[in-house]
Amino acid sequence: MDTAKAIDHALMRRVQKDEYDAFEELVDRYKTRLVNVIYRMLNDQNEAEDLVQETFLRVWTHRQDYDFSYCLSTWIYTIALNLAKNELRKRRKFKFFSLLDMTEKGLELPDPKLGPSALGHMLEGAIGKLPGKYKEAFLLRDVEQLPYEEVAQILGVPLGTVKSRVNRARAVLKDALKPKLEQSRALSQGSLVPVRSM
Amino acid sequence: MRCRKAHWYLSARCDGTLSERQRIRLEAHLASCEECRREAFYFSEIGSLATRMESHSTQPDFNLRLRAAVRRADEAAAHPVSWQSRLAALLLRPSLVAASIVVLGIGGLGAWSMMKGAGAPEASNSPASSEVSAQYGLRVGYNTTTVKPSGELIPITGNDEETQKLRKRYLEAGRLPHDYVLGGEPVSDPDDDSSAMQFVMPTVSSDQVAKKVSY
Repeated sequence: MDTAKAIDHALMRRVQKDEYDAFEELVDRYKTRLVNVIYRMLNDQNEAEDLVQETFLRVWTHRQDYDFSYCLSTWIYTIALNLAKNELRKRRKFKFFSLLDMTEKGLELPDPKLGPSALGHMLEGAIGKLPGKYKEAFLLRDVEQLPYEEVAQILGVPLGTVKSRVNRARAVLKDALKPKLEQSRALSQGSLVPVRSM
Repeated sequence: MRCRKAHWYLSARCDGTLSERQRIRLEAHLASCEECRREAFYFSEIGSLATRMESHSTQPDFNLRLRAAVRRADEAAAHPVSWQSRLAALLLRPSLVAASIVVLGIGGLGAWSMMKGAGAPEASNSPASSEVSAQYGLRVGYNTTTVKPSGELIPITGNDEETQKLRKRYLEAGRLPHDYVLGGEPVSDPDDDSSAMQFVMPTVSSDQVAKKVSY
């Protein structure tokens, strides 16, 4: 058993004995990771925090139901993603539009003068436009660096499907960022470095 | 190795999940193919950018808010709410209460207007009666029926086409004794006239009926 999993299980055993300190330690281990995934799913920081809070609340109230044969991270990510998917479903049903959102965050292009961080901004925007199933697979695998097997368990789909979705997401993102990536490649090879005239 | 197959392997290359044989074949292809080398660079850049993405942290009071929520949940679990209280809470939800008030208000208003007008629709709103009025020039009303009845029931028995049409219209409008129209004159102030009555049925003045209906 790897260290992270062992620590999680040790904390969870203490949580099952109603030790709130252990629960808080668990919260600190996961809250940022969860907020990042859910924020990128919903594109709303406040909503993401609310859902993460709800996730931990469910972990606490159902702490006795936890099955130690699974990774704790799998359980927590599954709860969080299910809440996020429910929220997205609700949004599809009742479309809310805010005047502040009229700029379409996902389509905002970064200032080209931003340099290397511009690529990061563009990637954020491109991820925002990915279809849900590709987005969640990419976020769990490439951003959260979870193993394929765990992503498959969290999403409840076969391993091959996860690999295919991640591959598809990477291909879509690659196409979306191609011009900027090409610039970056040219710069890294030195072919576009401006030559100062003597 | 062909470019198509190489592209398929590029994603697996990022994950480090290629077999040794696959890896050697792919590297050999990349060494000789500029296009695939470019694609390989894009894939590895995407992977590298994904791991360096901006992190969104929680608000500083996140743990405090969570602690409060957990306390509330524990208290709720310690004192389970009876089904009666749950039902009461459900029924007393503000949206439900507001909707009930609106429904009851509309219902009450409808009942009140029915009682006041004895359930008769406005003459002007009744297409049948307005059509009759337009066609025959009669004063036909349904809720302006505070009349001093003349006491006579005017039979509509004529067999001519106009009378039959009028009778048919009245029947369609309903609330009329099938063969009679009650004669009477509208009363301007019902309180001053004790003999004034409210009628459910359409009323016309007898002289107008006499003028228009031959029998």
